[in-house]
Amino acid sequence: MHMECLYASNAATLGNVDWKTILNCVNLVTIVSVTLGVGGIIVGVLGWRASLRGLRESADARAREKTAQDSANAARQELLLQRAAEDFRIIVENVEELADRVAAADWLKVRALLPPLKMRFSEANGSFQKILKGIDMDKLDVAIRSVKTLAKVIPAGGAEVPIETFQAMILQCDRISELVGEIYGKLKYLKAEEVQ
Amino acid sequence: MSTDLGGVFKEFIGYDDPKEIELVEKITEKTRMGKIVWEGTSSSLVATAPGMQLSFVRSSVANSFVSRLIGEWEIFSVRSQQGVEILKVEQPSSLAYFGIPLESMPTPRSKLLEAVDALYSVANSRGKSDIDKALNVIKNL
Repeated sequence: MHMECLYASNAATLGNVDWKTILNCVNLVTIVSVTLGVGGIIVGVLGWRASLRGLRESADARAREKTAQDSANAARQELLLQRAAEDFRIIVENVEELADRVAAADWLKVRALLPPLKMRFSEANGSFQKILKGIDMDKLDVAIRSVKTLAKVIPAGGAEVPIETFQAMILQCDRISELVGEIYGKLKYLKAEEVQ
Repeated sequence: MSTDLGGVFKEFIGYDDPKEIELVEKITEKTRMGKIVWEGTSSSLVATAPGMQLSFVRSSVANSFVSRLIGEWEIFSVRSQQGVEILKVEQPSSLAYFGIPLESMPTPRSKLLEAVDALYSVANSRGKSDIDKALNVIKNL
């Protein structure tokens, strides 16, 4: 065939054109071109499909990774909340004990209870900034202020406490107790998704 | 006391930001008009305005005679929906609550504190008006 084409071109050069042979050669070239073209299209389509599948798989993988990361974050947040609630339970217990001791006018014990309670409150104030929001943070502020004010009026030594002061101290303890109780209640049932 | 200069400093020099006072007064006005509705619990009063959360933490002496000396609320705050503090006003600490006499003349309440006092009074009474409405409904049964 190739030889025939060669001859044909020679013949054309010589002015003796063999049209039949030339048309045969053109057909051959066309068939080969079309076959190559179709093959190219098939390869292209297959490649395109493969790349699509790859893209889809990588998107799926990214989604799976994000889900796993979200679950890990949620689990971490849940753990943080549990720890926060546990820390706050200790504060609630300390406040209850303080209220009991104030009611019993056991000032020595009250004096001993106040420093660790103030320290726990300070820790809570620092560590709960991301957990407690809005009014709960205000309630914590008020509880801390109330404990500090209470500390100022605890009598030194065996000093007598006027009855109005004593009643006010008991009320103040009730208020601190109420506020920390509310925050503890909130923390216990707070869900991870509610915390940023 | 609030955002810009820091509470103690502002309280010390008696400075009140006129815009803060205006904000509180506007909230009071809208509360009176019934456009801001407050919900009360034993320890707090909360309300929402578009894009804002408003709250009071009540004092333990609310409604008692001592409240005239130290106020019926402890903290008033305005926060954005995202929880960013816009305004926070705290009651100055006082031992008057414990029946301990003041060593000197009580310092006059700042204009901002007075504005917040007025707001608390209106917000608290709006809460009570719900009881009045409920009472009327029951009476008219």
